Amino acid sequence: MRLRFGSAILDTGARVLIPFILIFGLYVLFHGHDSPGGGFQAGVILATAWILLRLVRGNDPGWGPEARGALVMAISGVAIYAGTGFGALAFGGAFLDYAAFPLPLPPAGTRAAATFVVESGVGLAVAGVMLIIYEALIAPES
Amino acid sequence: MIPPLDAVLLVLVVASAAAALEGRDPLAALILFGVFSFQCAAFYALEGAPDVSFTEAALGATMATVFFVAAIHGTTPMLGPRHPPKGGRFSLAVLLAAGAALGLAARGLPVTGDPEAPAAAHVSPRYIERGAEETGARNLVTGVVVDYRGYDTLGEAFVLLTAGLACLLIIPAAWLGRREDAS
Repeated sequence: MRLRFGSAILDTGARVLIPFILIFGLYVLFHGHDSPGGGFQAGVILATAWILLRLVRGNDPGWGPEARGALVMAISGVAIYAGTGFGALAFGGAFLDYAAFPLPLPPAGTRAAATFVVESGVGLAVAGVMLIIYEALIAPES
Repeated sequence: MIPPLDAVLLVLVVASAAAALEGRDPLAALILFGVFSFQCAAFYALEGAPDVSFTEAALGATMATVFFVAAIHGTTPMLGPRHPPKGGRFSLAVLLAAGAALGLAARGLPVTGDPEAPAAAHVSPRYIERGAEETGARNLVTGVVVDYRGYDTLGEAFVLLTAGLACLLIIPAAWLGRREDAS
């Protein structure tokens, strides 16, 4: 089941779709506080854009992280989340107590800001893991 | 009584699941499985769970289908004649009995959205009443998932990372082993 990559229709379709998918993913990430969605869904959507490109262009996508970069993404995403928890600890709060950060905001605002940082971490981790699994699943060219 | 739109969707869900199981071509079964996932997503949205629906559509329907296609792409499907499994009648009887028991038990479940239900009477009222002002999140699901239940979500992130690492460590080694067998 090996087919050639790079038909003009697929290429054009991907070119039209991918910017919108990326912007939608970012919207879901930034708007997760007020509407359905959040870091997890945003991460999956962002990964979808890159995997679509890999499906259309094969091993030469021209954009996006390699498997190693995806691994770094996933690990740094989880590190951002855990780091926010330890940061709260450093400022004298409990682990993951977002209100402990000394930001010039009301408590709920501080929590919302820290929540956004954590959501970004989750999004990064999810996108990275999706890319890792995809990279692992495709058979190497023999 | 079940609303008509829900009933139609439930029938479609069961039909696409049955069709996916019956198909002989793995790729066709996968497409039907994706259809099943999208119908589930529509059902969740209809039941008032847009976050779950979102996740199902993005992850269950889209990403899982791509992963399965990638896996099929690299493997040789083993299609033989289908033998009826041994002890099929006994399994069917057990399944029917279990289904009947569950159906009877379901009659004792509280109505969807019942504020008196045990699940809704524990911590939910506090989350619903104070969530927006305490977490600053107007989407209550985000407030609960990332703030009130932040520990659980951190644990989930680690589980996800572990799963990705396991894929990266195990599957390419399997490809490598197969190539050595072939040569």
